[in-house]
Amino acid sequence: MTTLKAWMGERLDTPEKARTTLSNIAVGGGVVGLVLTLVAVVIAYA
Amino acid sequence: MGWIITSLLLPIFTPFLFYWALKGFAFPSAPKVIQMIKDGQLGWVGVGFACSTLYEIFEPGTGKTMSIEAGAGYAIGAAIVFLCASSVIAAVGTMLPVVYPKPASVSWVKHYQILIKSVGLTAASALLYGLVHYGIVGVRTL
Repeated sequence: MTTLKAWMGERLDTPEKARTTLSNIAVGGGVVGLVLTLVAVVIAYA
Repeated sequence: MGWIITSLLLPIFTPFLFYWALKGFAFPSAPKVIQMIKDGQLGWVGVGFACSTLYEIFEPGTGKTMSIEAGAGYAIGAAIVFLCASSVIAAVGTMLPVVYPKPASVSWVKHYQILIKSVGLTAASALLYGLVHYGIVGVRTL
């Protein structure tokens, strides 16, 4: 937990870093969503 | 084509039309148009697309019979993920807004990263919404 807090603290300590970190988390979600979409298309046509 | 215009293009571009109309008639010194979307405001549109996708999967269209197809679970999962990701972008942009105009020392891509990412997420949500609406994934009109 302490390690996680330290890891997050490093990435959230300035607005610029926090903006990049948090928006990259959203982009990661978007990539997961696209992969799920692709799987749905493949299954629909399999 | 009608569905694309009314369900995808209008929610994105209507605020810009009103912005230009108001700017032209009443507020010539209004802020630049990029200030409407620079802090992740497009995330709200992505949230709308994701919610509409879920509704379209679970509720049959008026007067139509639809069936849940194989792979619908993945489409539902994708819509939920897009819903959360678009919400994060909208929230982060509000909490950590960027200044306008851009400082000369920062690159455009770095400064407006929230805008760029919100455009990508909104496009991805729109893609899924279109795939579901046209019956390519999730549901099929019988």
